[in-house]
Amino acid sequence: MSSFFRILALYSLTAIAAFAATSETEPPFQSGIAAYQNAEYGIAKTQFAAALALNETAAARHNLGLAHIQLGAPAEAVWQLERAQLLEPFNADYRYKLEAVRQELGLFAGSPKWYVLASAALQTKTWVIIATISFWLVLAVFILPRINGAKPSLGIKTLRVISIAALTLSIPSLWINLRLLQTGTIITDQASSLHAAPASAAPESGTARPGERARILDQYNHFYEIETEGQATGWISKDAFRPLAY
Amino acid sequence: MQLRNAFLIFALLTTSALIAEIRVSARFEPARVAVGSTSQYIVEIVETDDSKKPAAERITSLPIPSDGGLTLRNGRTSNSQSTRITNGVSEYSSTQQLIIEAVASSTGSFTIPTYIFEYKGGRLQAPAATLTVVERAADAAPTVDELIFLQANVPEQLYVGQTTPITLKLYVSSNVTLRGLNPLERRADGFTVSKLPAESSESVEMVNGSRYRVYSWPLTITPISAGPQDLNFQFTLSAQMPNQQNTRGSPFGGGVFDNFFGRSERFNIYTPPTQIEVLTLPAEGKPESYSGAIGQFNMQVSADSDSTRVEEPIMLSLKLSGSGNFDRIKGPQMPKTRGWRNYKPESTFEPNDSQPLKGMKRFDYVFIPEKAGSLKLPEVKFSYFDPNTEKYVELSAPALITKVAPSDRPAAATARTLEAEPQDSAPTINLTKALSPEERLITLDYRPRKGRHIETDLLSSPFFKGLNSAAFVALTTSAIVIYRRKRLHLNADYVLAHQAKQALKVTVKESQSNDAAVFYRCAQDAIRLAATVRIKRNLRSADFAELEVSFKQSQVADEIITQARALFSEADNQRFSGRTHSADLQRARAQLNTILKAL
Repeated sequence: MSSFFRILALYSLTAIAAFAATSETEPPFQSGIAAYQNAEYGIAKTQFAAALALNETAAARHNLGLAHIQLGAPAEAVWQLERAQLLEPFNADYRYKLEAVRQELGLFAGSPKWYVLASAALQTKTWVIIATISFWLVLAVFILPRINGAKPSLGIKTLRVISIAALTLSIPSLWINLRLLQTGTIITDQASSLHAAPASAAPESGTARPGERARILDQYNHFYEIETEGQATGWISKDAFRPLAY
Repeated sequence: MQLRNAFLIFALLTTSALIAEIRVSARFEPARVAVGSTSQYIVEIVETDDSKKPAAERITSLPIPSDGGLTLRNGRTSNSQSTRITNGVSEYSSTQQLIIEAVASSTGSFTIPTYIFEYKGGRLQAPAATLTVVERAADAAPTVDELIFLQANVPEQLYVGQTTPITLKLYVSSNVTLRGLNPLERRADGFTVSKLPAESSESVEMVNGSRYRVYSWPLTITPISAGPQDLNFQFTLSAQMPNQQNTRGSPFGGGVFDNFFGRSERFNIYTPPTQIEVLTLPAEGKPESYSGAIGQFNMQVSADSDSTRVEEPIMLSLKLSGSGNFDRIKGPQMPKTRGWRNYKPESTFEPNDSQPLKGMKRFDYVFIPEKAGSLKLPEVKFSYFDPNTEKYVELSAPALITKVAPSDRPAAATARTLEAEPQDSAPTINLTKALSPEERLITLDYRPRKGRHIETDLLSSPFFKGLNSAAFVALTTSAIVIYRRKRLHLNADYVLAHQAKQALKVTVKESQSNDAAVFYRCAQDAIRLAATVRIKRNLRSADFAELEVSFKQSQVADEIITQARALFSEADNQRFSGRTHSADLQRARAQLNTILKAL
């Protein structure tokens, strides 16, 4: 009789374990979609943020941006969409929405130039590898034959052309990519003041509009020194500006 | 003591209340009017008090007994206060007037009898008032109602929820100059009424032989309660009537200045009292899918693709076009379908610019397949009530078939590929759909893909440093190897020295033997090889005399030469005599080391 109860207990424990394994809660990304569909944008925002904390995907960034749009925070939405585009540079849908929101904020659409798109063809890390290898290859194909004293063969000459072309292509692309990572956007929904020094009490040197892109020149304590796309330069609080790469 | 004070305060207040006097009067102004003209029925409540300013209590309604031929409308109140001081004695008074417009449709004497109403907790009596209505003279000027009037073409009967367009028309006689128009007011508790458009359309109409400018506004009304419902609209406007123009007495004379200096007057213009019979929708024949649509509609169902992959969404679009209460139409609830996960629809409405009730409403449902196979999307049903035929109409679209391929993503690779569901006779519809810009802007991305990894400080990362270090080492090593190989190929002295150096290493190792014969042979060879490396001439088979000459040429120290000579001599002795001592071997080994170091 006792063995019967033991077997029964074993089966029960197995069933409970199996049930626990299969009854997983809905992932935050799906919950965010459901909340968005139900027009519960505040919940959708929280869920997409939770999904991003687990794993940053362009879709979650994009969806979080849309939730911010619905909640009336277009400047924050611009940042989220910029970041989504950084994760997926060739997603035309993201680009369209980013341009639409920017125009809604009174900014230029800011379509990327051809060379920016071309430099986004490969990841920054890939460009780094290509640039490094092609640089050392250029040195090798010019120095080693000279050391050897032999006339460079056709293969060496071809390698020279290829490595010089790769270096010529990769250095500007890498520069553009790294420069893009040094940019950010204004995340406040009101125009923010730029200061002549990294202090709130410093005189104003310009104004940055909501959602405006800017390049980081320097940073000090709680301030970034930036140059906006409207050519205004000055120090801005880190509460009002967020870099794309953080 | 406290009780006495309370009593005194109560007595004082009571006395004060008794001192206040309230008088009520009622009258028509004017008391005699022509048929069609408006008189004002005024009930005046005057309170006087010697001690303080009386506070008037606002009266919102009066129990006025009805008189058959008299129409009372548009009640309003007016308050005023005054203070009179006579011989240092103050008297305060407060006057509240309730002004109601009265219109009689026939001649005669109309009396509003005495009635009682409540005021400040007491009962007051309004005295009777009489209005005399006489025939209008043949040459009498037109009344205000004839010069300016408001009309709305409303239907006699509607259903609850049925949205209907109406047109509100303001007729202004060509003799009247309209100066201003205040916002529209309405008495339509049983209806929702659309907002009055800012701009009106203007036209000219002839009514009873008179010319009118007609201002028209399109509106829509929707009944929300059943039964007879009042629907009245009112404008307050200011206008200059024909008899008010200052053709005489103007300091600038007549003519064009009349229009500038004429006196404007405010009027309240009403639509005639209108009542609409609002019916409830019949319960008989109401389909389950009915959700409140009233009108005439067409339905079109499409999917953006007829094939997809597991977990890749497709969009099912339902387009409703026609005429009716689009604002009350909700997207039909899609039933839970095996193999599909769906979300609430997003809706958009594209109204017809010229006809507000016409347009196209679209519902987009996102369906995500959970398994592979040939899956059926749910059948779509939509029903509406047609007020013309007074019957319900149900529209249905057959279930669309979608081919779902297994997911190409690793996470979904384990998804079960179920057998295809049995297909019925539903036809497969191949349609594509483009999203509008607004829809595109708010449409989510349902597919979380692995995006790029964003690294911020790549140039200072260990990866970058390691890559460059490895490249530097590889290049340097290659350069060294190539350089050495080149010298071995081109420089005979280098080759000789290189080979001698290699042989010297082997020989020195062999010289570590304790066998004296082996040691001395190796010692001689080692000195020859060392000399070859130093002098870069082949001295591998040279005797000591030749070596000595070479040593002297290369300025080797005499002491080293002496030691080398001794070692060679000892080696020859050993080789030819076969004698040696272990102590000699140790000394010879030390000598060899000294010579090799010096060379």
